Amino acid sequence: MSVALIRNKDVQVSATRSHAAWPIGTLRYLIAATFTGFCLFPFYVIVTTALKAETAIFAWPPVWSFQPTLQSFYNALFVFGGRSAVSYLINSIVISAVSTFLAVALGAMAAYGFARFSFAGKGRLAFWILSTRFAPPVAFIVPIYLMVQKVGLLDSHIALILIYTAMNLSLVIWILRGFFAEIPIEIEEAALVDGYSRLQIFWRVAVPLVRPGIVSAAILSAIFSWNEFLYAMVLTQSRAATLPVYLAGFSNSMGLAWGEYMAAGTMAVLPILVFTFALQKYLVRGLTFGAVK
Amino acid sequence: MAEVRLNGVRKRFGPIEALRGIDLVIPDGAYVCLLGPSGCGKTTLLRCLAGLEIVDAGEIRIGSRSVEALEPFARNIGLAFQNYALYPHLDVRGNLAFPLHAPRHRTQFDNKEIEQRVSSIAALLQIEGLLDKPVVALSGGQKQRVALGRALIRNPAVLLLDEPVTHLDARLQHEMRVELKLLQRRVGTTTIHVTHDQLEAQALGDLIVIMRDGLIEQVGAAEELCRRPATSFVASFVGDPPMSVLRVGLKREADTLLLLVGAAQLRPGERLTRLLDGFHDQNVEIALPANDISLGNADDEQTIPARVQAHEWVGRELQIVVALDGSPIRLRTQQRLALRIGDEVTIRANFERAQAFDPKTGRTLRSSIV
Amino acid sequence: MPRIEFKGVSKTYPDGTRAVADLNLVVEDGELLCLLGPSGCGKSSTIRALAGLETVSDGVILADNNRIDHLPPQARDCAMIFENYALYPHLTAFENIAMPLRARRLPMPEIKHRVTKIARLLRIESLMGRRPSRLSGGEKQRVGIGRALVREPAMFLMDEPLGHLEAYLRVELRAEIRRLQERLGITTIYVTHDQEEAAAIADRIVVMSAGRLQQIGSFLDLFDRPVNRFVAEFVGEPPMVFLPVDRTGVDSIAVKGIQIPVSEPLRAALRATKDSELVLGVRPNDISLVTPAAGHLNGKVILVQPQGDHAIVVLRTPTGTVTVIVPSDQRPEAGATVGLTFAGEGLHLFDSAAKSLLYNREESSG
Repeated sequence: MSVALIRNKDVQVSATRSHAAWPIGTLRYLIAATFTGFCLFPFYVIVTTALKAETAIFAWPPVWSFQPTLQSFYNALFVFGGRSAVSYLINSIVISAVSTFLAVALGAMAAYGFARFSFAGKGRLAFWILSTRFAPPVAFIVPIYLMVQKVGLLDSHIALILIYTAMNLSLVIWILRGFFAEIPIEIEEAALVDGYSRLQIFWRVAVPLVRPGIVSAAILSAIFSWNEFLYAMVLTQSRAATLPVYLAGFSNSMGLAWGEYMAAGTMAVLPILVFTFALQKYLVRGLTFGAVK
Repeated sequence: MAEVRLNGVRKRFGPIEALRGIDLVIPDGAYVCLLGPSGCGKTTLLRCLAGLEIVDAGEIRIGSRSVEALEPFARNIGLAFQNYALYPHLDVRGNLAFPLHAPRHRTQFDNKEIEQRVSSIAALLQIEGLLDKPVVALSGGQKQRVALGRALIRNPAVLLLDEPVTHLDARLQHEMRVELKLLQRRVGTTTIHVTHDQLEAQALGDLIVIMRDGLIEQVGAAEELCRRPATSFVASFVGDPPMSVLRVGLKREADTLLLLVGAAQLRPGERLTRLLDGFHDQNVEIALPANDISLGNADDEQTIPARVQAHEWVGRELQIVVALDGSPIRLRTQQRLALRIGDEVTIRANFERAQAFDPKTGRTLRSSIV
Repeated sequence: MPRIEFKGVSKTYPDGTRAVADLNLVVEDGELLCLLGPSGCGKSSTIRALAGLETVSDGVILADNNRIDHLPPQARDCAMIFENYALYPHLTAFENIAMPLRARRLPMPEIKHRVTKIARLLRIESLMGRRPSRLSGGEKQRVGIGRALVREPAMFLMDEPLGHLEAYLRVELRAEIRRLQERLGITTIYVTHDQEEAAAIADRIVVMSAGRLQQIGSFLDLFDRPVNRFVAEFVGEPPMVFLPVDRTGVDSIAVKGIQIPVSEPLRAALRATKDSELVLGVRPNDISLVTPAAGHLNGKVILVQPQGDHAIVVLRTPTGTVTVIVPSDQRPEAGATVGLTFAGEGLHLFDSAAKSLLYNREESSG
């Protein structure tokens, strides 16, 4: 019997119809549902705990239906321990937004350079940029602390912004380089003939065409900056502290205020969730595909 | 519109010499086809004209200006790419207007004029109904019109076309040949059209420039190239079907000249004998028009035995290709034969209009009068 | 080398698209049959149904009178090549061609022998050590063909294999394919939208439109005796010219008031129908140019396209644009006014249902 040549996506499964379709399908569904439930359960606990009154939180067996209250949120935002969440929230937003913006803007230009131009040492430079992600961040915490302190930027927004930008740049460049390389060169040549300079071509032709890549890179950078704990903890005190630092401060000698803790956690997750969902529709293709056919 | 002149143009890519000295004059308003096989340099030449490549040596003049050192936008040319190269994130109107919105040209065109130009170009190319459509939704033929429109919207002095119809369906290609020619007549722009299809070049070109290995083999109108090819390459490349080029041996016995074709010895006839007068090589290349080759019987005079290599219908005629010493011989017949590849046939050659070429240089032995 | 038969085959896709409708077709043992038609006509669906890549919604497919439409692709002993050669980029040409034989676990000497034999047949022996990245388009397609043929399949299916190659490469490769097919005698089905290509290689051509078989026959059958307007227009380049005519009598016709002489068979066909919405079809080769007063119709030359020893002349006439082919030495000047005459033989008449009056036979598997 010979093997016919077939295109991957056209394999016809119907020719070998399985008679045991029903149980297998249901089983697959059950496994998937169980796993999904397992992953989502912590979020469920966080949100429900945040909405429970104090007594309901500590009830055993756990209460599944309860009267929701926003008392914990109120406490966390304005009252709790003299440190209100608002300033931490603002810091997180500012630092994440600015570092994401810088990483994407600078990274896009660098990625375009890698994709379109050839220069001495290009391959090595590209590899070096990727190599900055090899080592765990904690390896550099001491030298970075010393540098920041010497320059007098401890507990400042600028320090975290610069560090997060640097950390995100490598990922942004790596993602966008692939996207830029996929744009057919003729389109840019057409723009050259039409009278545009290379910089104008970058902004008006190349960037619009890699929108899915930019969105992916922005989302990843924002998530990273938002969640980053170690450097924020070490380099900030009160003025520039971000939400992860704030959350860490809940477990102290005064005991754990679960309700407020969960409320703060919910509030910490919410902005980035909203951001990602809002941009989802611009993620036309995933990270592995290019922008233009 | 403008005259285009090239003097001594050279271009090299690493070790490969893509253009080895091009001298060419293209008259103002002419439709010129650059024709040749893959790798001959025709696309490189077009790109050098456009400014997407900078020449290593030589001069390019458009009109009265020397442009070889200028950037593309400064040369006042329009370019339509093989794969159309439309801007996917814009609609048709956006694509057409894009050249007019370039910051460098901002002072030249106000919004009203841009609108006007877009409308008139769309009307000229019959794409008014598509103006608001995204270009990704267009068919190949529609995309090509938009690409042409974009190239023409700034009224360039020269229009450059890089294999504009290659990726269209067969029938659409033939239709576009008529449309392109009529369009060029209306706008009057000097047009340079790159193609590898010699029938396309014949249909469209006022002048055809045949290139090979980075050099120009011949420049002329279709008829000239078919009837008076300057080299054996041109003879074998142009025509419907192209001439058959045979490498034959020459045998001079006393006063007579004999051609050694395959296993046969043939008399060349008076005209060819005169052409070969004074040529003392052992071998010569003879080009025969397909009309002068026919099927004969084995017992006829002046026949050559050969084997069928291919057979296909071209309209009502049967085109037969036979192999003779490795060279393909093409003939067409009205006879309805059932042939199989490998069949033995007998062919007759009439040397009345044969052309002769020096086998070492490929050049014609004498300008022959047909 | 089987005789293939399609009996009442239909293919409807889940979204409702009827790709093939009631196809009855016989492919003779050892013949090269072309499926010809525009995009969406069902030719690809037909060949894929034969290969087993699509299921058949209705009807059966037989190979030597054995049903095969229920078999999976692997069991049908056919090889298929596509427009994108789909070569394995990390393997050499030799290894690519050897792949199917390796999959069947043939011994190495046998594999070597068969691959070399095929390579010689395709004239690519010198390329055996190269990777696809170092092969030209035409060479890659030959390797693809080699890989398909090395298993000596019973059927050889090709879906527009030469689509993206340059014109002269297409001409070269299609002659190769024809030569191979004649030599090996494998029943071959070739899908194309290019009627010139079909004319060049096919023993018989099947013209399809909208899922239905329009006509089947040799190229000359389709060219000279088309059964309907679709076939008449699709086969032949430049395409047939169509002119609306008026009936001036029970067996006579006129174009713009000028009587057109017609052959006896056509007169008989006219007498047999009462249809008054008739269209005259004539091929560009069958129109002659004469002095303005002496023709059936006058026209103004808008374009002359030289094509070797003949020329394509595009004219504007009161009935629309007409294309004529004339010998080179008879070509007119652009802008001249000329007369057109239509040869009595070679005229076609189509009725209001676009069927030919002369050649309208119900063709089954021709």
